[in-house]
Amino acid sequence: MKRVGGAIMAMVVLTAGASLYAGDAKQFQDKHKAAGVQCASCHGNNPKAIIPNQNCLACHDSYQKLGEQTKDMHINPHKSPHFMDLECTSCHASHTAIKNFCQDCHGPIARKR
Amino acid sequence: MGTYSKIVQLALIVVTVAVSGSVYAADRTINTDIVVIGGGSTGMAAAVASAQGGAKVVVLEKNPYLGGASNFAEGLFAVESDLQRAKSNGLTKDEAFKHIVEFGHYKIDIPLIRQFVNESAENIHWLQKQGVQMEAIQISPTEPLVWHVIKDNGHIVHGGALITVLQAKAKALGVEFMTRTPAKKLIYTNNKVTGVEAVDHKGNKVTVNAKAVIIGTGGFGNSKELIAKWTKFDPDKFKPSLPINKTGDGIKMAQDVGADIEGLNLMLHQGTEGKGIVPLGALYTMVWQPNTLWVNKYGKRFTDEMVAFSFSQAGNAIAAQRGHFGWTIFDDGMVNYINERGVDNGIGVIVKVTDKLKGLRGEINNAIAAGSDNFKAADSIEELARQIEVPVDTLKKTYTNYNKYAENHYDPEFAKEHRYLLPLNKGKLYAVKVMPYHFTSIGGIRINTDMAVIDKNDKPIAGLYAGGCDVGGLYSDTYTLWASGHAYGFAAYSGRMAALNALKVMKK
Repeated sequence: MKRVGGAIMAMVVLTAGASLYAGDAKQFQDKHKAAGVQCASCHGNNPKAIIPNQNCLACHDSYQKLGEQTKDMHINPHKSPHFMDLECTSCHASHTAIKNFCQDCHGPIARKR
Repeated sequence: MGTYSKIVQLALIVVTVAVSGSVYAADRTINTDIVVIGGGSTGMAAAVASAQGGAKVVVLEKNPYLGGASNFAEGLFAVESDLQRAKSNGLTKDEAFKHIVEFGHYKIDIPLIRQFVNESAENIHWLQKQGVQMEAIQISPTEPLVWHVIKDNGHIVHGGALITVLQAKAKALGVEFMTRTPAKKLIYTNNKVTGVEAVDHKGNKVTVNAKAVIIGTGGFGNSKELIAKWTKFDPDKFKPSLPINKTGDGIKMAQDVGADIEGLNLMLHQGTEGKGIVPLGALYTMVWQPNTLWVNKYGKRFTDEMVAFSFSQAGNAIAAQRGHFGWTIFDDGMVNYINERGVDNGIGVIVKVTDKLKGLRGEINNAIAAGSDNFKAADSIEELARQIEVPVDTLKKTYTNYNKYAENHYDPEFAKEHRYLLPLNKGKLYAVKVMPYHFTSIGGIRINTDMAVIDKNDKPIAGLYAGGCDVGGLYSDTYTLWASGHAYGFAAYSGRMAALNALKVMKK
């Protein structure tokens, strides 16, 4: 089931192109909804529980793969030279805009394309 | 009120109760052996050592990432390590110990320092055994070869390499990490610390019951409020180098259960910022150079500029000036020298000694074009004096004298070594404002040589340990850069020792 989700997500990623990242205000939840991802796929049975990385990576594979997808950024947030196993939701809170904390030190980070 | 609105109201109440009630709460209670507050090098060493000793471990970290300031610091102090032996380095533990306590005016915890210096090499060897790779280097001409610089771990650089090696190790040993979960309060019952109350980023309460708590939250350098309250510094003029969220949590929590506190202070360093000035860029590097001319707001020299080699002392020298700033003056001759032969002083390992600062010219031009507030260029010393708003006659005299000293290869004013006395008389003159910043706070929780937190009667508070930059007794006026990497070395050392001592008590 999760694999199917992954395939759908991969298609969304391919078709959505640059607008997926770009520090835009687009809510990730919309992408998830459009891809048919159920609330419980991320949240389990409790919306107040924290979402572990494994829930995200079940569809999105690995940090290594995500790093490949964002390698055009001048600072690649998925291939941090500082940190390992960052919590996905520390930037990608699905119900709000992306909040990239790399910017606290590095200043604005955007995609080139 | 109509029936309809009453129904709506009722429905709202039902929904509110359902959402806020126990149905969706995710409060947790965890029972473990050791809980570590703060996932920096103190906490990571504590976690690995605890887990290797067979304990169940939980690490609470309030940032979204582990490592804190230890990700960005670069090396650890040690004496008589195998890496130093390999370089035929002759410094002894006794010499290092004596130097450190002299530097600290004996206003420090001397038994704790002696123990740390004696066991510093073993600390390096333990880290190497965990897979952390290092190289011993001499960071500047005024310091010995004691800095054990951490080598990259794949694409992870600087201290992040140490953190991620320990992180992987801890993970394999079953340590549970909880990021974005700040500890709020120590659980203290019957004169004993028995756990920690924390809150995760969803607002859920996390109660961790444990046999021992190890604190390593990295001091209070990011709390303006505590800097104002606990030190003599103005937090608006003495800024932290990085926003790492170090807000004295560990110190405050320990204080709340009766811990004694000592020596609260800041570890200053020189730095700059402003329009057209890149953080840690070429102009920033210029305020770390010993062969520039430093003047205060009166246009007078105030120190031997070689103090730039020892950032903590340089920071103090600048802090002591009225207004807490100075100007670093250099000329086109210096720009050429740096482009051809490279800098005399690096910035940790980010800028290395002899790096040629290829971007210096460009950054100078950009800063001029931006009309920078803290970088000025001029064709004469008089014009420069007007631009940086210091008395023209005084600066002119300072400048003329300085060039004379350079010609004579002798600085009668502050005895700067002749190799760093270069005449500033070619092309344009430049000035970068130099100001004090801090890498970390110093001082904090009083501990004994078991890293056990002690109260005002020097009695250990059962179940509570602390290490790293949350701890007092390590420094007096400032950090000894002579013992490069002292804070990082002590953090890893104290974390591991706290764990070993906690394990010992638990097994009794």
